[in-house]
Amino acid sequence: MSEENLVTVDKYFNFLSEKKLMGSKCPKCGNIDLPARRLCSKCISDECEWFELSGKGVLKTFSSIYVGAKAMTQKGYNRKKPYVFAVCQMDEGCSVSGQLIGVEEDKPKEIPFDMPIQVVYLKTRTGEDKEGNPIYRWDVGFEPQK
Amino acid sequence: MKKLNRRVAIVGAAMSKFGINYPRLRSIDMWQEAWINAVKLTDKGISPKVIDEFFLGNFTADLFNHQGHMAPQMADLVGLTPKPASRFEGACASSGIAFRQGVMSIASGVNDVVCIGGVEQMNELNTEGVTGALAAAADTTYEYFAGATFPGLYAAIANAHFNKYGTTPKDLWNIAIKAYENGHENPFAQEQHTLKEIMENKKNKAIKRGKPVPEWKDEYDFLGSRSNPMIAYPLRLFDCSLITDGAACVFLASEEDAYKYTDNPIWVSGIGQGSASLSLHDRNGGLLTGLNATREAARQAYEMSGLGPKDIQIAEVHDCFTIAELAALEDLGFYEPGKAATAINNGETKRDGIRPINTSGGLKTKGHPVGATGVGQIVEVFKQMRGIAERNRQVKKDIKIGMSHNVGGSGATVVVNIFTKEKI
Repeated sequence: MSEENLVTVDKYFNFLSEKKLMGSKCPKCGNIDLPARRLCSKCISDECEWFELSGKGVLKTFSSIYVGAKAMTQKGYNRKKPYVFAVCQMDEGCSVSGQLIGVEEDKPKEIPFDMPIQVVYLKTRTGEDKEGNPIYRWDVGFEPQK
Repeated sequence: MKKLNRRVAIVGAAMSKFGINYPRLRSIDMWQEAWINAVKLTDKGISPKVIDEFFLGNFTADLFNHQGHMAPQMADLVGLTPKPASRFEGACASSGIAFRQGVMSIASGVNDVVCIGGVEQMNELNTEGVTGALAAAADTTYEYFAGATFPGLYAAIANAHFNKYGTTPKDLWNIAIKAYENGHENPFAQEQHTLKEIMENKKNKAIKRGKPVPEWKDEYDFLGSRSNPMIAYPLRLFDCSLITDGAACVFLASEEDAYKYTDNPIWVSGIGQGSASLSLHDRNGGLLTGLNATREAARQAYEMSGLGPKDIQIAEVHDCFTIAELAALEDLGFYEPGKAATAINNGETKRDGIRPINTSGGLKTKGHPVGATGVGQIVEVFKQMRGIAERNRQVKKDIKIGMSHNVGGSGATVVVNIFTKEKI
């Protein structure tokens, strides 16, 4: 595997910033991992390659969070305005965590399990560079399929 | 699963008072208190001279107190210098791991007598600071920016359990009520009020302040009230364990040495430790309604001891949240998946039930000084098996077989131990 194609965390997040959901696919056993892994999670082959996912899946479980992580309270979420932390399984079989948007966060009983979702890309400001320009990170999020 | 090469016994065990001890008492003070109490509960006494090695569980004094390298510091305070002293980290299972390493060091023949400690001083930080430090036990790379918090991760497990098995907030509430009843009987617990007393106190405060007095008839009225706010649906404030300072201490000896320290050793008959991915989402095909690593650790401990779930008479299980206790009862094999709630509602896990669970009050009311929790649980099992549990919490029947179950993070590390009075 060339250095250029090596599966690394940094590249995974760079792909997210380009709004590309890139997992890894094992050429030996066909398993797909998300987030991407250098070693296949099933057969531990070290030949995994980048693989673009459809971004479609279903909601496996979630919680509406009223006392949030600092990364979320900084975005304005609080006891009166909860956000939803979700685990979704992609159509390709792998699962990932993310914020679920586009639902009524304070009515968790009405959010259905196994609801079809699609991936969205969410931006968080994490700091500033030396010139004072904002630094962002991009994360996987979900919304109900339209 | 192999057997231990030679048998290992607990000869003494005790803890400091758990609670909001900082700044009155710090790690240094609480650890010495735990040691002194453990020496007192070692029938024939024990001296640092006979101890070959020290194993310390501590999650993150680095973040809580800006103190790393804690094992030699704690060892020195109790006269163990220059013996080997090492710290073990597995989030909230840190001292559970330390205990298992100590057991194996005796079984291997390297050591004859060892000391296991656990210590954590959390209240130096405010709640936001503590939450931030604890978040380091989850997957910072992939979970944190998805909004995961510890209550949130366990809430996601609870929500999946509710969805699959029809479990309800009231089922979880019965776990909380029991925890308060047991904590009430434990002089070492952080919260020694029953829920009814807490409700009365809140009513009296409202009267004093001239505010509307809540009209709660019983604990179930309190469940959905404003005094018990939602933290992470479906978990509310009183579903969560406490932020605690505390320390605990256990002495272990080989089968040849144990009787030098007591005529009634408690044998470590099964040990197990399991792991799972750090992220909840990576537990592919995994149990979102429970913890795979608990099943693995329990499998090992049952196999080593030759015992099964039906043999376990009491257990201290890791109830960092009410749902964690319910899931543990199923993952440890006490009940089929989805069946624990009915048993809890029938009182089977109360002190006078068929298998009392968390007689100490558990992490929920005894408190959860994360790095001290695993050894703290062993202290309670030791006391119950010796028949020396304080106040009214001593289980009436003779406990011959007990268990402790200690979880790190959202279940990436789990340790299970089985203890027996007989050397089986």
